[in-house]
Amino acid sequence: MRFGLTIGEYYPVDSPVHALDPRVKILLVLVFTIAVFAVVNFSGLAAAAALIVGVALVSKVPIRLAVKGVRPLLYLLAFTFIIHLFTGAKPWIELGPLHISLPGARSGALVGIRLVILVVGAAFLTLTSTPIELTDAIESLLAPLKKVRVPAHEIAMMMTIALRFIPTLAAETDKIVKAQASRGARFESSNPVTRARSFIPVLVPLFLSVFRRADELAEAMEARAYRGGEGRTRMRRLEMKGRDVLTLISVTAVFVGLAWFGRLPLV
Amino acid sequence: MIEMAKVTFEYLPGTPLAHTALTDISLTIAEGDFVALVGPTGSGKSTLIQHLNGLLTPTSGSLSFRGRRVGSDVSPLELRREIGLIFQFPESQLFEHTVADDIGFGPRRQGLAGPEVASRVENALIQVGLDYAHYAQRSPFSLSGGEQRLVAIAGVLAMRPRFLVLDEPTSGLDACGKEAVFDCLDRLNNEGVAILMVTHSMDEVAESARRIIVLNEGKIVLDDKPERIFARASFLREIGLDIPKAAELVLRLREKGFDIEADSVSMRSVVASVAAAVKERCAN
Repeated sequence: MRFGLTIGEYYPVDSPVHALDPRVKILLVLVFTIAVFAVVNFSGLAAAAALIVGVALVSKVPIRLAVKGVRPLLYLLAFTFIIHLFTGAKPWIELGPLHISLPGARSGALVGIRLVILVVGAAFLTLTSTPIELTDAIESLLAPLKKVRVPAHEIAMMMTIALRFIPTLAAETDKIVKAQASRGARFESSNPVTRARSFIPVLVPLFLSVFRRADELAEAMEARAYRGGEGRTRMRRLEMKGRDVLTLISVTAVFVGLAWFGRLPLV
Repeated sequence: MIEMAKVTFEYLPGTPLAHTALTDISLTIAEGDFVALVGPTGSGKSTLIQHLNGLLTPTSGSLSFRGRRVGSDVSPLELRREIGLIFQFPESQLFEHTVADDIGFGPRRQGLAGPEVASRVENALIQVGLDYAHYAQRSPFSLSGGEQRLVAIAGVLAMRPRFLVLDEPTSGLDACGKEAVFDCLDRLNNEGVAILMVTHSMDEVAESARRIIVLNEGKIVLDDKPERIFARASFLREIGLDIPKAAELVLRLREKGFDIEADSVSMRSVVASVAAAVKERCAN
């Protein structure tokens, strides 16, 4: 049994993209998303795909790792495409009461490809930044909201803790599954009810251990006088360097160009 | 008899994270034996024992049980009825409302009838030395750590295995809990159940085991009787292992010129032979 996460896997190599300030990467993914949504022609989507290939080359991350993230979306993509087929005014093929229209097929394809591009593009954020970098960046980006009492530090801390415990809990789950398997438990029944029930011997011990760990962690943090974000200094400090600012501005300009190109009356 | 022939095991083969945990392991565990498996952290002990009941499959090499090859002639499920595996901190596998229900989980999975399950639960509790009337209907979560450990062990014993494999069965227990676990293991072994125990504590090994297998970096480096293993103190220290206090005492006294015969490394027999040697010297 595998409990591996495929989305959000960090790919550890040295590259200019990895070295970029994570805040810049988050902002650029945001701008990229807006730009791709602005694109309404296929040439624009092709240009966006070309940009992604460029990022893949610079970051030295195999592009198939980013494409892997699309797999869970396949049903959603198929569903979106089929629904779009039957929208649009000009009927093209008639299937009884249903009309498949050419504009519908076109917009279905546009939306589908757009989603794939967004998912693949955003995957580079998590492939090139460690989870810790990302939470630090989110805390820093949310910091202005502290003025309106958004608990930015606490949100980031919760994310850090959640991420930190994924491998721990995966190992724990693996151990409990094996322990129950050696007592004769089986998890591969084809009957969904039986299968769900067969996980009780795993879930009960797992939940117990999660609560125990949460208690222990809270105590350990309090013992170290943790009191939230106020007045806290940081060990890892994010520093926006000239190179980061330059990248942010120039790549944003490229994305704006992409949006403009995507709205030209092309195919 | 369990037999491993040239077993090699690699984690995540074919990826950049590939890591060979076991190399060319060949060993046999006879019926009724009491074997200790020792080795420094990361030497592959846990990986090895997970092969013994089919939780891991060798990358190459083969495992057979009573002459039948595991995987082709014996299914892992069948194997698990004969070879009980008890993980480190087994109390973390407890999940039922009552001790009796938890211990009965294995037998129920085997499809045994209610009365048979009940009698097995009662027997298993007796085997680990817990009073049935006192414990059966209590929640396993209300017990002490040592009691929980014994209940978890009983949960495996209820499957009536002829081989019992344990990973650090006494870690984290107080002296009292350790003694209870060892009493239970000795009793089982007297009844003919073979024991294979992974441990760090050389003192425990010295007391019970009749054979010691030393694992280092995924290979078997020594496989012999305890007294012959502990005669090689310097080698053991080199790979990061200790020797039992009793064996250490004998070695040091010999260095000081005492003539001590020690054919066993258990504390009791060493005390006797040291006493004999001291008497002899005083007499002279």
